[in-house]
Amino acid sequence: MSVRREGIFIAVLGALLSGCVSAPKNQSIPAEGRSIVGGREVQISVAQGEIKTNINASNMTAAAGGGLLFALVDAGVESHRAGVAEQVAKPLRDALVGYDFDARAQERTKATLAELDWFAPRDYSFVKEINADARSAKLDAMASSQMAFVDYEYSLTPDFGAVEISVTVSLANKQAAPGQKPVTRLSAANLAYHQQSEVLIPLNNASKRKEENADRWAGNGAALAKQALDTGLTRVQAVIKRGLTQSANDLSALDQGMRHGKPTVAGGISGLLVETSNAGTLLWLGDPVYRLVLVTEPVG
Amino acid sequence: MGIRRLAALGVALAAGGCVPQQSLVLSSHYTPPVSDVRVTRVPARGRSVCLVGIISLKDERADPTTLGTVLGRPVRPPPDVMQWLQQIMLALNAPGLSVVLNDAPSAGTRLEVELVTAWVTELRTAKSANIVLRVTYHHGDGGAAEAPKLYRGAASSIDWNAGDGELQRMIDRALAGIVAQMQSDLLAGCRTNGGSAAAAR
Repeated sequence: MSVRREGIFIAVLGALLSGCVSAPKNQSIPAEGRSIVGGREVQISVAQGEIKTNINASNMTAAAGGGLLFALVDAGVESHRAGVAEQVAKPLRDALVGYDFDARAQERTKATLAELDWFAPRDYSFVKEINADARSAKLDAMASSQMAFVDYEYSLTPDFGAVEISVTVSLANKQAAPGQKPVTRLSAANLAYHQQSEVLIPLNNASKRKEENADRWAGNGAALAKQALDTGLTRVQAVIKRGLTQSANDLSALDQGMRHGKPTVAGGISGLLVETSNAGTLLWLGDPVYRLVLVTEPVG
Repeated sequence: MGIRRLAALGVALAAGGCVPQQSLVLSSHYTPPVSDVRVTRVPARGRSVCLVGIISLKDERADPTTLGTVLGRPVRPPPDVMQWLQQIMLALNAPGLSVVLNDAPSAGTRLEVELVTAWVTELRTAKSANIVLRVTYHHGDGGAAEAPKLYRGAASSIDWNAGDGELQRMIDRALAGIVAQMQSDLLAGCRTNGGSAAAAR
């Protein structure tokens, strides 16, 4: 997160002691909360038109200990980096035109949730925009007492050396907490469940130059990028399922391991090793992100 | 990414108190950014200009209701997307090119144009826009269609506060890139195919 947004975020946290936003802790569904009368409506989102790019943050403000001038320099540097990343991504994006990530994400999600009898998914919908007001209205209108939001994001790492697929699953109640406004049903603290899962699919022997990596992803009709996205979409389902079925004790064990265990590095990410399998290396990233990350074998 | 999204949602909740953030509805009028207005060489008097007919304009976006959000602010397409696309096509008019919004039988070049995607996003403190048109060219009278060609316009800039002006300008800059690429291809195609049909002005 950028220094600027971090600042905003902290300010918001400070200003809203009522708790509109807080670090997510509700990452397991207790046994008694699994089954919901009438089942759960599900809204899937892919709030992007094409594969996203990422850039490294400019940290001059942090290094200098603050200051408006440095913040402006950071913003200028990041704008330049964004322009370069967007330019370099063009051939890959062009080659991916016609690859329907959205349809694949919906299909895989439906298959995954159907495997969890207690989840009882019903009335799927799909949106291309995440909007708190629209979601709150959806909660008002739904027939169920709880709704699942499954938010997908797919992107390239800053060096274009890997494709990332990230999925956030949230369960929001129709009923707002006593004394709170309806929109607060969507704040992290009030969600019945909130878990982010991520899959990282590295490019084999990736270059340090993003231009070279972009060429490889885009080559042959973006064959490698499509392979990575298909693999990622399949593999992330198991991580989603693991998150939905993990118990509070599982989480506690992960947090204990995070505090006392030796971190493992995979795909440039450091975290607690959960397991290694044919699917890849599964890491747990504890406080403050509380995220499960699967790093797969490289493609290409 | 999850924390950024959470932060954006938090900002939306806080800033609005839970009051909705007004969405930006883009203007149907395409205004080329001043810095991007290119000076095209004026053909000598008596030289013909290339007549370009737009056979069809289609909106093929996955979701025609949104371009995405910037700092939690929804960005909406113009209320009349067809009018917007027509404006963009008319912006192709330049010395040497005369564009008409119909299937002019005498046109040397005829185009089928599809809006494939138009979206905005954020990259840390920057924002970016991407717009893609898929264009199929038909040259000459009853000429076979060429393989469709993609035209991508992209622009990025510092994300100040997701204001109307900065978002509209970013979209217009992305469109200017498409207009410039298409003008260049149309002029080159006219030279190659001898597709001149209108008298010089």
